[in-house]
Amino acid sequence: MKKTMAILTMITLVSLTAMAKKQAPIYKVDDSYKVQLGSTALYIAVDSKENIWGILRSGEVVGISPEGKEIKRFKPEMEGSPTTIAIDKKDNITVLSTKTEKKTFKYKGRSITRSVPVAAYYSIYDKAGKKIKDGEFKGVQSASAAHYAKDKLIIADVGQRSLIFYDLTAGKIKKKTNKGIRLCCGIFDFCVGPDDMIYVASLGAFKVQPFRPSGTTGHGFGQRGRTVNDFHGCCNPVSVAILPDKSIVTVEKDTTRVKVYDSKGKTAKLVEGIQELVKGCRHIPLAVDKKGNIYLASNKSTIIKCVKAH
Amino acid sequence: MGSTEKNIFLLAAFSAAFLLAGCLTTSKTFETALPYLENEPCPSCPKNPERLAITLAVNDIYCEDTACSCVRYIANRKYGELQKELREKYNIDLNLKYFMEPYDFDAAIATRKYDGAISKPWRVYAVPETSSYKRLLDISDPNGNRWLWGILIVDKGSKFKKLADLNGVNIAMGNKCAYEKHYSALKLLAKHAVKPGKITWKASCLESVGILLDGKVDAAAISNYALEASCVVDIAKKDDFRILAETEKIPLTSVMLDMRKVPMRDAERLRRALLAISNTEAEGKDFHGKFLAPTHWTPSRKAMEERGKK
Repeated sequence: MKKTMAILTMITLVSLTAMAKKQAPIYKVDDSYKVQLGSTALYIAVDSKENIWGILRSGEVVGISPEGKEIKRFKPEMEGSPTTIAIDKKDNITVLSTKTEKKTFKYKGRSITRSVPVAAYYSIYDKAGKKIKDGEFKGVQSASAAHYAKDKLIIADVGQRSLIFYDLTAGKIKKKTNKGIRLCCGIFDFCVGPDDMIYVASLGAFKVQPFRPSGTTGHGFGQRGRTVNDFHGCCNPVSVAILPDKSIVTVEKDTTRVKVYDSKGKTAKLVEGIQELVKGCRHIPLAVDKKGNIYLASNKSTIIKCVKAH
Repeated sequence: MGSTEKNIFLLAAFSAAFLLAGCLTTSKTFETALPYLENEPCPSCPKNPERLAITLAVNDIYCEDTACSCVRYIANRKYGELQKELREKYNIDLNLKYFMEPYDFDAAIATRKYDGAISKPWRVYAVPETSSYKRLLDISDPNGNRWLWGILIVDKGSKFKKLADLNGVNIAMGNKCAYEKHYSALKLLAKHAVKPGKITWKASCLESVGILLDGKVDAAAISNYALEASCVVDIAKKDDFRILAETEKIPLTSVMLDMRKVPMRDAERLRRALLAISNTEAEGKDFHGKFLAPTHWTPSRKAMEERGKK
């Protein structure tokens, strides 16, 4: 009898441990972290020292320490308008920009004018703000997000609706893919996970769509719906990041929801204390550090930090 | 009894009869329109009426505060000028609370704290707490169309040429909160004795079109406006598809009032004011639509019985 009880207890403990492992961690906004940037951050990234770097609408690059103190601010030269930022393994900062042209099309007799991306550029700076290199991305129309992965710079090109794997040394595209990528509202964000898997916020499909480093698609998750595990709005999520424990962070706009999913994307928990970060169909910049902290940028020119609640 | 008193008595009787009918017939037929007697004078529209305040929840597919920015060139309706004119000329404060997310709108309606709503009618009537809501007016789209219907689409190159070809075919359809692509579409299939294969229920046209493009289904039932006035425009072109069939037509957008909260005389006063503004086109260029007397529409018995079910 005792033996049976012991076995049952063991089974229960193992099951509970497995369940605990599967569940997403609970996060909340760290109210003590207050960072005012002076201009809205278009994109944020984290360096190896866990400093947060942002490219601002004003065109400035700003560095923020993990404690929330400004450590550097400089204005890089660039063609077009700033769009995103990427940090390489040496902690150099790549500023990406996009040039647009006004194009007019007809809709039921009316003329509609839109800005259309036509070219993308980069300029690489060290942390002191000294320029190392710059140039145009050949064959790339726009750069709304970018991340380094091993020897490549991966670029989200909303103009071509593709992920571009770019070889900066050779100055050319190595490969590109658009399978499983459904975009909307000119928003295109992705992240590279600790296992080098690429996760695209495929907002036009209400999914997080993974890609293997080779560029082939993995099994995505998500659908539009009412529950916390679903995505809401006209198109979401707008950004995605992978935490060190492989939990998946997603951000939805209008109304703003930040959620942490388990590593399989099955169940999610809302980050507590999140206010409306943007109004309307806007991208919400997101980054995570190696300690598992979550950073978000709002259209009120602030950075919000979220930490584990328990 | 004077003629004004007689009219007040008649309207009160109308109101009581409709409320009673609404309560008694929710499981039978439910007329959603509040009848409009065009040639009847408005007994409750005195020359200098006291201030009337009405608060409505808004989820209007053509309003720029509730539509996705990707269709801003068509969904550009603004209510500001209209509100100003109502206040200045008719002493009516029309307060609007905008909901971009339909699920938030549903939840808001269910609280019964609003006097009414502006949205697709079924968006409101699908919420069980709205038995006392009546359609005061309909609103046309910017092109003058006042109807909403479902369309059954296939890929342009599909082998399916007519509705009967969809027997045994996998179809994407809308959830129960979208009348035209759920109940109307099912009714259409039943009328033509078409029995589809697997039906995949999706919460948005964007997802339905997405899985049609992916080849996961062979046909999709979507809203008639979706290929022009929804996020679908960001993933596909209208010409990529063929329309095999169209469902019945139902009202597109309506101004609805909770008749348990708004007295009949106030409802009639608001209606006359909105129609007067609409008829003189004094709402300006920002409204992009017209107020119209409500058409007769009774949701199906099945739909009424399934209200509140996801």
